[in-house]
Amino acid sequence: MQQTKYNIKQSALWLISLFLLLSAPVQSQEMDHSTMGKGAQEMPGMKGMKDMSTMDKMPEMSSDAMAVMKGKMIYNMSCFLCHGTNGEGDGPASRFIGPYSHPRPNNFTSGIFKFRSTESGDLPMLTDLMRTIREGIPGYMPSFRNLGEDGIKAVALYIAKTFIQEELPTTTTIKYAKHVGPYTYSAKSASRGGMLYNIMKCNECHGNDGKGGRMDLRDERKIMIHPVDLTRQETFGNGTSHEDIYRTIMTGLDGTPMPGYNDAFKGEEDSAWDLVHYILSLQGR
Amino acid sequence: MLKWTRPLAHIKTTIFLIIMGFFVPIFLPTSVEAIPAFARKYDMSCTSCHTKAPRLNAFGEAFHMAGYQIPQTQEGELRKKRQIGRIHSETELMNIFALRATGNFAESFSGGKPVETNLALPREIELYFGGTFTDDISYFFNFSNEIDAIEGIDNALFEKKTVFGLGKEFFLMFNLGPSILGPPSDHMSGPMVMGPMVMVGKVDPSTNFSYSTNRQLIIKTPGRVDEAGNIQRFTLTPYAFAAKFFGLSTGTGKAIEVTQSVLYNSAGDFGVDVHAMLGQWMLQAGIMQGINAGTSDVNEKKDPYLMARMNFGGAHYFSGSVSGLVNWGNDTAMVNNQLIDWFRYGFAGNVKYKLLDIYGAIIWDKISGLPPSAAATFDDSALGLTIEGDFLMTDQHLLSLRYDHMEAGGFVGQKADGKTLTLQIRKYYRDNFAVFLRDTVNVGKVSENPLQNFRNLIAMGIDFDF
Ligand code: HEC
Ligand code: HEC
Repeated sequence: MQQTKYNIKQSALWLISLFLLLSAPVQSQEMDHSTMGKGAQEMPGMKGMKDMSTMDKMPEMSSDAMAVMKGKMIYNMSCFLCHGTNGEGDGPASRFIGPYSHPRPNNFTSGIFKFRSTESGDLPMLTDLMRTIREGIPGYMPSFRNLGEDGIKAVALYIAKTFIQEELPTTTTIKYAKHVGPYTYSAKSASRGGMLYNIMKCNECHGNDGKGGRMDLRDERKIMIHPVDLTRQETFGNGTSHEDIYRTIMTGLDGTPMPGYNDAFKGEEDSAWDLVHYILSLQGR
Repeated sequence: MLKWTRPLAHIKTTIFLIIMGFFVPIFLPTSVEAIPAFARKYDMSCTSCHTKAPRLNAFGEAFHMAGYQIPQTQEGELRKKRQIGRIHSETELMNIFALRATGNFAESFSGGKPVETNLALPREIELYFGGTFTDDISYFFNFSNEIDAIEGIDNALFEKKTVFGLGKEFFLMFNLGPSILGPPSDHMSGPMVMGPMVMVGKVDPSTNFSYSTNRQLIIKTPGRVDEAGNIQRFTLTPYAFAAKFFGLSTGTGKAIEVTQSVLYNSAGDFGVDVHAMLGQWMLQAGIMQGINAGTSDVNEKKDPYLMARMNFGGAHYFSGSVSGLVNWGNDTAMVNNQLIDWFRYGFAGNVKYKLLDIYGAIIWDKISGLPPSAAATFDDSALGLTIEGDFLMTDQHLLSLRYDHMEAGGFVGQKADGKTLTLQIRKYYRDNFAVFLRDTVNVGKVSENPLQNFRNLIAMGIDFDF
């Protein structure tokens, strides 16, 4: 009995000392906050970030710069593992996501973005980045909805400022007709879309049945890529709502062979909706 | 020099198995889909977290470290989850449930005595339940059924039996971080902090080591015990983690198999574990039973350990880590019926570059407090080294090479050293279903010692995760 007590005490001691050991570095880190250096004033920009600290100490800092800082923290905790610390898509996990085929995390610094509401070849809008981060990409990137809109915006800003390093467009020349009135789903519209599907040569890549025919395509990094199976909405990366599919068709997916059709449909947006309806009909929706 | 002295029947079986293994499954459908629990839940492919299951890639390690959550996001609002107050409820059982079946379905030993070929069903079937109860409390329950497990019994004898019950790991994990440091979004600068995380239950602490014991792509091959309970060949496991001493028994007097993974590197044992991340550093400490003695350990003293790990990399498809370990097996085993202290020190390292994953561990063991009766006949130190490299050659083929080295300790009259080289190829018919073929070659001496009692082990088997 005597011995048992002694041992429990010993175990408890161990635990307590371990806790202390673990909390020690954390405390000293909190002290860094209060003794932060002058480097902080060098904002905006990313320099001196390491020394930055609590918000109240820097009234002169713009809210965007604050957000970028928060974005950096988020990025370096979660995103870098796939996207790489330099945003080049070469994070340690990235090759395992697409070992020998598309997709892999893209290189943010290349300026080539798949998921945009802007014309093919243009940079995405901030809201586009935010949508991708919020929704995630089925199969490949988790949804980060739980960061909250502030967190999502912060990390999108960080990507824009640090990796893209160009002003993002705030408007788009593509006309996004609302999915109402004449543009709502009808069987007639879908069958018109079915004809367009062949006329516009979608079938050359996606196959006559929409299941994805061509096997010889490569993405911009020369990695093998398969056209999406249009009959399975769960494989869509750019969203599955009517509006999402419309956007995909108009903007295309830059960096992949999937072209944008905005020019073709200029002034004839209803035909684009016909195509959307055809795809929906392929999915039995 | 390899000696290929085996009966004709043996060669025939082996050839037959090879042909079967590589041609039959070609007719099975091949596709790549996310299946097991977390992949289902987050709508992601298996390879987001795994190089190939069960090995984790850098993202998988971060996910694991964060308590089965995606770092920086707490999952209450996840698509397929409901939140009731602070409690998460899974709307689909399949999001928390997973199953793994592994095993050699055929194995054939040559070069030692006796030469044998075995056919078996998957040896090990494991059920997992994993997920989160609240943002800060996660769980991992594992039940397993293992056929042909070798267990020590009294008087240095062993038995082979089917073991069913609690699996390797069974724990709750608490993230004390938010209560100590506030919500993650509040601290905006300085190094990243995660945890401290406390795991309580049946825990595999080595899951945080640079080379974890559980997550083997080259699964173990059961050993052989004769009718009388004498061991004829030890189970093949990574030697670095093994007990390494001949003639040890647990505190309750049950024989310890020389190749059993023990102490910090046991695949799971009762204890309490605390770990935290600070920037690139991870610190871990805990206490455990150590020798898988079950809940009723006569050894009231617990075995403490400390581990520090540093991660590096983050770009150029490169990442890695190094870890150092100190472990004190406090009165944890017996020599000649007297309790001894068992010290374990070790290093492990891992580098991943593109589709290449190399990891290894070197572990020293030292026994102190030997009874006088054994002082002259018992070698009190041992060393084990295991290095493995895995390379994903194509979307479907994984090539692994492992070297194992043991300089055993224990009773001088019984002990022998081990050196093996294993080459394995896995073919993935789906992301979650692989067939493997491997050859383990004893590159050291062949003798009747249970550590050396074979020249070649050719095995074929499956690894299936659902
Ligand atoms: C598990 C790996 C993984 C993690 C973690 C991850 N991503 Fe991604 N991300 C990807 C992959 C893969 C793609 C490319 C998918 C594709 O091309 O279909 C991608 C694409 C993106 C895109 C869209 C690029 C484009 O072409 O439009 C953005 C923006 C993005 N990620 C931001 C983030 C942010 C911000 C985080 C962290 C909060 C993050 N990602 C975390 C894997 C990941
Ligand atoms: C040159 C070949 C090619 C042509 C022509 C083409 N596509 Fe695609 N499409 C692709 C490829 C490749 C992808 C897959 C991109 C990816 O994986 O990110 C794709 C993806 C899609 C997607 C799914 C996007 C998502 O959310 O992941 C839709 C919808 C689509 N195409 C519709 C069309 C329609 C409608 C047409 C005709 C107007 C068309 N495509 C013409 C190659 C093509």
